[in-house]
Amino acid sequence: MRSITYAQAIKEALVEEMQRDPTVILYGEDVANFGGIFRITSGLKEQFGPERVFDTPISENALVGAGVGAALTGLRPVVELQFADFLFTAADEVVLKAGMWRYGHGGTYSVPLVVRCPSGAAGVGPEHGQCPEAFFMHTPGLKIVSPSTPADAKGLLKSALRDNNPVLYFEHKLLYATRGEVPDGDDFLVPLGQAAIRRQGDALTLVAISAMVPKALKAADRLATDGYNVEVIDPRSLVPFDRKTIVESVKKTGKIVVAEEGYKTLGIGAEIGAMLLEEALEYLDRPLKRVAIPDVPIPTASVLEQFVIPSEEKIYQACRELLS
Amino acid sequence: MSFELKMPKLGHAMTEGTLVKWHKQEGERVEQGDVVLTVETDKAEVEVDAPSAGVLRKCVAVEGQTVPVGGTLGEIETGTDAVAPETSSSQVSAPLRIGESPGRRVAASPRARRLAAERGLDLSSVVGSGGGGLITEEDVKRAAAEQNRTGVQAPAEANVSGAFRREKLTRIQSVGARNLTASWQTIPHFVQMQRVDMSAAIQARSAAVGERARVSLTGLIAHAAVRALTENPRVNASYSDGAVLIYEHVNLGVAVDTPEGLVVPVIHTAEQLDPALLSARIDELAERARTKRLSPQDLEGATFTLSNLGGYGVENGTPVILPPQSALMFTGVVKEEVLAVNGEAKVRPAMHVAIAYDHRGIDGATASRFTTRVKELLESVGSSASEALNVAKPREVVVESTGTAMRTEVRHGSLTWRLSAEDSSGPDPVTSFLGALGSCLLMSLRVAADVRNFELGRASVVTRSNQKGRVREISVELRVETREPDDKLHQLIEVAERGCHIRQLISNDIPVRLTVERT
Repeated sequence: MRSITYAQAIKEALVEEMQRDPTVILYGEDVANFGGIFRITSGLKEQFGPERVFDTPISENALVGAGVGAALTGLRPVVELQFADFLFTAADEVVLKAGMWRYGHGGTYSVPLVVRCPSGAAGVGPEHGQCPEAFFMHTPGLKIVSPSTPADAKGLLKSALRDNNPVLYFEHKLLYATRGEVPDGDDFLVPLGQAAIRRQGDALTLVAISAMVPKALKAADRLATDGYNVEVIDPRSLVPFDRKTIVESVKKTGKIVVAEEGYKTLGIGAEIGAMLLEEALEYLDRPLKRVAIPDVPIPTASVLEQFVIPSEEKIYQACRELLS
Repeated sequence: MSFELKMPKLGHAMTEGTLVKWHKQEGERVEQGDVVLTVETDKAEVEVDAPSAGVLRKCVAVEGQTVPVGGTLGEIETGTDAVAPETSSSQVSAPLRIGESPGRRVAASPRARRLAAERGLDLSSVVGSGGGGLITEEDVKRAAAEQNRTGVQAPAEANVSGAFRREKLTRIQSVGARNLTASWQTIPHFVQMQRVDMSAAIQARSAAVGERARVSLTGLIAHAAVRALTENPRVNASYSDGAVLIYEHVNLGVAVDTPEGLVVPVIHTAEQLDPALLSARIDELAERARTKRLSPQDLEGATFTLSNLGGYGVENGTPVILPPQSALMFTGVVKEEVLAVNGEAKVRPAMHVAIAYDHRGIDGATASRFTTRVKELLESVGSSASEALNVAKPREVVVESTGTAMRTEVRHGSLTWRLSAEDSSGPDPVTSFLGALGSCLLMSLRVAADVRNFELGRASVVTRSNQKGRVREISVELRVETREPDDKLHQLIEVAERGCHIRQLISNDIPVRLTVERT
């Protein structure tokens, strides 16, 4: 199988879906002439023309608002935000329009919009380095994916583009350069709402999201040398959420650690914990452990940033506490 | 403004504590430093003070409740506007006592509860191993397996006929029970015994009476054990997964009987203490153990334990090791026995020593060396020079001039050294002084190295001065055996020089040239 980077996988998905479906358009700040702030879309304007790939002014609210309008009229727009953090600028259009209008108009319209959101701390400080998935998991009507591998980056983006609902597509900045095998063929899709078990085990369930997945796998390797075989689950899709895979795993292990790069309070770990109380209480053998950013802004200074971002070591230690 | 009183973390290993007593009632005024409540950890009871003045608004935790570290115990309202409400009996609700609630609270995970229900196991008989004493699935499985193995289907008390009283173990006793069970099940014990002639030790104790520093028999026994441990480091160790962790310092645990159960406070780096200091420290810790004023740090990190049960009149015993230590020394009562001394039957004060060893890390020969060394040291207390030096005693040097010769005697406590030979020839005063300087520098160096975990092997010093007349310069040649880097070594020597009293005495008068050589 081919091995390509996460960034190449995203581009491939865009190219294939634009070739396959002429209603797919792509726009955002510096997307066309410059090729995108992270150079994901370089060459696409030349390939598909300025009518389908174009630059916009700096107004995220207008970007997403235009996307909602275009989607209502039958296009399948891909809006690129330079940073996932700018979702807050666009929140009115994301939450109240993209998320609510299909419902608000009695199903008359659908909003097949994809918003690409580069996420994650990478020395860019509190306003450009967040993983704000949990904020938007809270509000109804949006689908959310957060791939951790090149294959998922491609397969999930293609599925998102074919879905008739708005999808927030979180691509972690530190994963762009990571490589992995990606199946050939235009028809390779990863369904929304299906978690991946990255490593089988029965000692503990370790759920990791996005850039936490490679760290969790390393922690799991260390735990294996300690004699503990932990199961690593990558939800991939946060809305819809594959509860079953996690519940089944916890029924087996009785212990769970959730590693995420969002803030701890009301984060993804909190939601998973609540879900387990509802669906798997009698199987829990230890308290839930959440490895997340303490509720502080993400510092710009790299030492401080690394202090708050969950590391392989922190994940390992959290697991060890439950495995003693 | 108000703040929460939280369960303090009183030691590295502490995950939870039990609220033993509220010393203040809800609504009562507290001043800064007032004892508000007492909590009990696995190892000790600790009183918690109010960090600032105010009114105890709320007692959240009830007496007897186990609360995780950081968990809220109560709420204090601070500030000048905090006034105690007029108390009428109807306003102050008496805190609920745990004994009044139906049933004992059992902390068990839902998974463990489900399994226990399936297997018909009573969770109140299961000891929890999870964080905060949580009973986990593993614990239930283990307890169920144990039940099957022993064939006990119901709690033991169901088989007891006649009236009985059920007395719940204190927390300290419960933890002790768990640790000792683990010790007995996992450590292959063997015990070696010796009978020790305590004449010398008793004499040394009496010699110390009346002097400023008191020396107790326990202190002398502890000192002998500590010294034997430094000479036999394999005994000052823990067995762990096919390896033996040999500790650099001797942290001596001393078993103390208290109303709540056996408590083992720890004297850290005991090898740095002389018998007088050890005696004082043991007395102090024992007193604090009995009055529940031990800090959790006082209870952590023992590498060897001494259990002196002589006071209870018992002669001999077979002790159980406290994991993760590798050995425990029991000493019995000192009483007169007939001992064979140089072919004669003599009545002497004798004491039995029984030392339990972990056979996984210590073989019989290693143990024997230690056991025998303890006996040797105790039987020769006071006769060795270093022993005497270690006891705080008056220092005096008597110099006598006969007109033709000079006689010098150094007296320290009950010991006397004559520096002059039979013909009254001896070291001249300057040479004696050089000896004092050398030994002082060396002692200071050793102490500094111990304190700083500096790995120092053999060390020697040669002090020299000009050969005749007034002392104009002293040269000190220091030879040390160490693998530590140069900068650390020179730093250490600097500290040692500053710490050497004799060196300081002459610092303004005579140049001292110091050279260092590694061997």
